[in-house]
Amino acid sequence: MTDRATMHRVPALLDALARDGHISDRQAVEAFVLARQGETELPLHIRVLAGIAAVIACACFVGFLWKLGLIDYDEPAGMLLIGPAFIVAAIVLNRIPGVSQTTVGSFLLQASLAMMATGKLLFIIGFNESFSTPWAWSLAALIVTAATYHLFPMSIDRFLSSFVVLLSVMVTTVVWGEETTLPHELLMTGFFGLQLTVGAVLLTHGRIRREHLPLGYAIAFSLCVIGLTSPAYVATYPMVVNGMLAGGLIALFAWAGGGVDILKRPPMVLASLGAVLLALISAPALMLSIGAMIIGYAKHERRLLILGALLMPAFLWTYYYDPEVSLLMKSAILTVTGGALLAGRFYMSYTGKSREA
Amino acid sequence: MAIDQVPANRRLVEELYANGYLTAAARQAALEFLKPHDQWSLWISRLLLIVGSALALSGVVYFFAFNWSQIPPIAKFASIQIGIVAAVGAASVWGFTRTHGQVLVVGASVLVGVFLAVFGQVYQTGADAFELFTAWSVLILGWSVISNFAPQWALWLAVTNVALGLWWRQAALPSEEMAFLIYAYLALLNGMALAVREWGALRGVDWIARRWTRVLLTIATLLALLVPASTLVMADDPTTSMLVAGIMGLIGHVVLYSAYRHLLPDAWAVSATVLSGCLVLDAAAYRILSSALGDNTAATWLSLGLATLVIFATAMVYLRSIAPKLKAAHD
Repeated sequence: MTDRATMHRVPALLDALARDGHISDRQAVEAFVLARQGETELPLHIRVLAGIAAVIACACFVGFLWKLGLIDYDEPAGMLLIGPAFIVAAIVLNRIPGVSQTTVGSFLLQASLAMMATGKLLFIIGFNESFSTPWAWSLAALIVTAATYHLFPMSIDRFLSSFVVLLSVMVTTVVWGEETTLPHELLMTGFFGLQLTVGAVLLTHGRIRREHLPLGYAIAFSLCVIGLTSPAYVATYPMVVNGMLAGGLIALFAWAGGGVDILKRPPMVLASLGAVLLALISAPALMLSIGAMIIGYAKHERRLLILGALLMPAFLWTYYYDPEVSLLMKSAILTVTGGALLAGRFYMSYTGKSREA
Repeated sequence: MAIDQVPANRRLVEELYANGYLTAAARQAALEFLKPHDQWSLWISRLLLIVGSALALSGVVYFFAFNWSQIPPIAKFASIQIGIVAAVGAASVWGFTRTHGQVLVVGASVLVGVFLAVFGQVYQTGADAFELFTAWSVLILGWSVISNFAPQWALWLAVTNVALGLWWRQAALPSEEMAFLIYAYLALLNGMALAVREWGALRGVDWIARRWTRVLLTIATLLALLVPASTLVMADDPTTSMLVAGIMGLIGHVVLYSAYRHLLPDAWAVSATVLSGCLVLDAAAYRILSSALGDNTAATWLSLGLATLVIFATAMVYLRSIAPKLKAAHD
């Protein structure tokens, strides 16, 4: 599902607002908009290029350190010293004035990213080897991510580091959660609910600063992983998670429509009923997929639209192998749900809601 | 950047609101301007159609999977054939130019593949997988031609790529000397599809001109060019097919770069080509460094890491320098 809406420019928007008397000082608004353009990061395709270079270079640096004997599982203290040294060097390199404007600048920028990745990897391995607790690598990842998030302003690093933290907590909770004093399911459900709340705020609230968006995307990815991975999902209280997701979807409808009143319109009533239906059939990935597409469509964020669209076939694939429900039951659930959604679509066509002006 | 070039979107509206430049009423008016409610209704309607169709069709597939061994062959064939006829019949009624009809044709095309698989299973034809995929590709070609629907063509191209790859392994049975020619064939197939896409887009064929079709076909073509090109630069004693496909891979990179840098400016396509070129250069750097430094693998790793950074940094600077020109040409 692609975003086919018209792409407007700022003057057209300001003209429309000025016509209705919503703007008094247009010059101030334009000055704010132009000042905001200066904060723009590298385009996505160049960030992808930088990310791939950093991954290859990081692998080469780790190979180099390994060959020199500086990566030694029997001597984790060495890694705990070298890792932070790499991280500090990466931050210094990244702060050289004018970085990324020239070939040397771009080299330093990518070198800093590669060194940051290498440093974090070494620190996490060293920390994990030093402490005999399954939570060590989650804690190590959290420490380096929190310590560098504001000091190292590259969104790809922020996204990957945050995702690693969330993924490590999820894996550790699923694998080792039963050894904790709290109920296993309570931990996992709490973790899911916390991510859903923080993710919703980061991705929809107007006052969130741009630097926190990578964390929002990391949470969105992490939620998708939980929704798609049967061991992670069954480690929660599924009905509670489904309830949270359905409630979140309905809140999202209200947010996207501009207020709670929008929920009284027939298409939104149908959509809300659809959300409840999806909760009843236990389809978390499907609800997350729809949620990602709604936010993506509302905010013109193609990345979320694509994430939502890709999550749909991924859900259908993993659901087939879900051992919790029989194939016949899955078949009935999918057919009835699909039929209900199609009935909603035909109701909208019949009443003209799909073309309303 | 001039103010008239700045796109207006929800993020901007939210930031203006958050910083006190817009009141709540102004924010609502701005959102209504950017996304009128009729667009939301249309979007929800499409979402319901696509998600509903996907779930209902998957439910049918799951049902067959559950009962597969118990279903008599006649019922298997009848249900699939009825599905095909019903989908094509309904598409004819709705029209192949409308979304409903086009989605139904894609469904019918998938069912043709299912039918061929069931046919081979029931009659134990002993046919190779490449014959199934070739038949599938031939049978749905006609629908693809009349569908005017990019996803239908994407399905056809995916099936044809698999057919070609399987034919190479199961029927062509190439010698080691000729093994790499498959990459040349795949590059030609996807490259020709890309050329047709560009030809159609230049002539104003809207359905083929969607951006994602170019991205998909460029990536498919580049993958078929990258493997032989990087293998060639690393090989000490290349085979004939490695040489042919590798040289074709290198030339293909130049052709794609020239096309999307000068003829049809596109930042994403140029970046994808440059990225692929960087990986080929990195492969060449590995070969040169490992030969020069011999057994000193630590030095090889370190210098390869630095070489990678130099190659990609140069590419980044270049891409940033041409980005405004590409954007201006694209606009």
